Amino acid sequence: MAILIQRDTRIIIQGITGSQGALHTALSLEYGAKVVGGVVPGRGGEKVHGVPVFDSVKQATANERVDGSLILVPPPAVLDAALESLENRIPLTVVVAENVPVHDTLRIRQLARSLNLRLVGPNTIGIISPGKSKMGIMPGFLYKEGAVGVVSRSGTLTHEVASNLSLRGIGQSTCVGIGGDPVVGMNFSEALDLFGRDPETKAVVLIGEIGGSAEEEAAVYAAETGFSKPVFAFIAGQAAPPGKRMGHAGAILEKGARDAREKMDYLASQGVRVARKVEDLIPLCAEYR
Amino acid sequence: MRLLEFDGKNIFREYGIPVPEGKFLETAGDLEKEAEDLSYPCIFKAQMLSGGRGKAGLIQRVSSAGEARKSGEMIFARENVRGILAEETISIRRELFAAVALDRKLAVPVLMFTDRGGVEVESLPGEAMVRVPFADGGSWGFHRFLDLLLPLGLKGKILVQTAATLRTLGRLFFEEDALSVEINPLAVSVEEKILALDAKVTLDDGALFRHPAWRELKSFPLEAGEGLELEARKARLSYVSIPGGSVGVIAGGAGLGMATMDAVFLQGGKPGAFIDIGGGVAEESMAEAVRIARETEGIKGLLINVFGGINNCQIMARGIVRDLQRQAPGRLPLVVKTRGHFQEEGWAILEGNQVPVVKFGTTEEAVRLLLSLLNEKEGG
Repeated sequence: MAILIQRDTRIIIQGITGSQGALHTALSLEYGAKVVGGVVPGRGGEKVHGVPVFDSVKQATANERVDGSLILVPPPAVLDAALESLENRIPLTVVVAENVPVHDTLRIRQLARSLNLRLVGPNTIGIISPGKSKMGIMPGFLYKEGAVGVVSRSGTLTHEVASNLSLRGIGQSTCVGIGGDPVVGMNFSEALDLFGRDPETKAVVLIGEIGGSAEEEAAVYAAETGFSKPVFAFIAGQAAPPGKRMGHAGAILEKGARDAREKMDYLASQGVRVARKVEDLIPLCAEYR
Repeated sequence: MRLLEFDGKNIFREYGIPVPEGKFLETAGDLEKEAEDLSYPCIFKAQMLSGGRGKAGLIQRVSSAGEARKSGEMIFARENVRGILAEETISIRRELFAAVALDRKLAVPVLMFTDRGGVEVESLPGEAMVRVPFADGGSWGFHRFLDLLLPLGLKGKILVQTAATLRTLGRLFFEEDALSVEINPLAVSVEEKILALDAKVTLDDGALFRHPAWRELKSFPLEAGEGLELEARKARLSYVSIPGGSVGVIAGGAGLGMATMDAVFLQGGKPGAFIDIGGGVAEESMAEAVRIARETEGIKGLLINVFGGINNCQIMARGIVRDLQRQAPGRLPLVVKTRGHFQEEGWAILEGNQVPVVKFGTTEEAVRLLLSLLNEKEGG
């Protein structure tokens, strides 16, 4: 087992004919992901790397079971694409794009919650269950199958941590990028909950950063629910100057919010084992090789 | 994008939120031209993005053309002043506060209101501020606003005008893709009229594509910055310079960039520039990133930490080399850590140009290598 996506998860890609869409379709297929269709309005009937293209999600789901939609469209098109995926009751929607208007995310998130469907992102690398399948833009070969769950606000920092672990023989059950925006779908706590119930996952790595308090909320959640697996965390941004937006829309040390050090200390006070530097996650995870 | 008060009030006016009569004087020359024609007394308000203008003496009452010139000279001499808003004076009976902002923790917009507005609003006890979830605020009926205000004892015309202002502010928040809108004070004048005496508006840059009019705002070029910041923005790079630092960090991804800065910092180095190249980076943008980082004041060496995920190691390597060729002869010490899609091709290009490459090592190792190169250079 893993969480969210398994070997047999059936995926469609919205925006499959675009340059990113086509590239990541090829890479997903190469990784073994079951990409069963693509959706681009007006391009129905075409094929991309052998995958049939449909005009709408409804059409794509007419004869296929679809478990998840990977949305690879530019930010202005995200709202419509995500609403379409959700209204067709696709259980899992992953939005990769960065710079999606926050008001669009709010609408998408609200609909996902009201329909009880999973939304991951925006501004994420997606999800990978190494050795099984992926729904995202991560280079699969940096990730190795194993027992450590990873949940992160930062895409490339996930590559960094996963490849640091993989190169030392420590595999991952699933790695979830929840996204670097101030408002995202799935949060740390929900991912922790899934990892807690996954028999394959023996420990969880939480990768956070400055801005907001999502990491603290997850730590409180873990403490209050008596989360049974070890949680290791790293928080990026110790050297970031206050008040500056550090790349991610959500990564800004706001007035009154905890800085990276304070976040680390708070997490530690809730029983999370904190890595002061990203490499310290390696020895912490070593026993889950 | 944060808006100058002047831009914010223009949007208020468009939506029908009452604001004082005012004139925008962008330069000292504008003031000179208008000084004789303004109606006195009036209030001069420095237009700038930083707060605390009142305490800094940048909001002044002027009663004559002579005073206006003196006051103008003082205000325009200050840094980061983008003009003066000359407004009619208002006799205030009460100060209220109204805002709509995104609550990150709840992940919904919230409407905030208090009848104890003014400069001390931030130090009010929590219970003095009404805060209600406002996710569906765009479709609230008028009664919802009335019912919010009635417990505070608002009555008559003021009750109705305040409710109407809240409703309009809510509509503006949603229609203008705002991240936050704040009126402090929302004044009740002695004539029993409601007026927004200030406007703090932050718009979502991500929504620029559906608001072409934003490009006309005086605040628009401020957001873009100047010098290297502006150049970075044009190349679609996210750039932050840190005065006093000496190591430039270029990373693909914000979190990795911050973690790399942290690694520099933890090993005794001083990060001086941060560039997140974002996704789908082209060769030219990568070359720009290298140039902007090395041209940042005080930068002595560069650490490039990038993955081939949504980016391509080969294209990034070409971009790095393109800038190296511009730098010849005396090039800045540089270490590149890169892996991911097309890594073999990328490594070959970099090594062919004598760039130290970290292939399988950690960020910490890459930082150590760069710092030792810098020490060597300093020692030699």
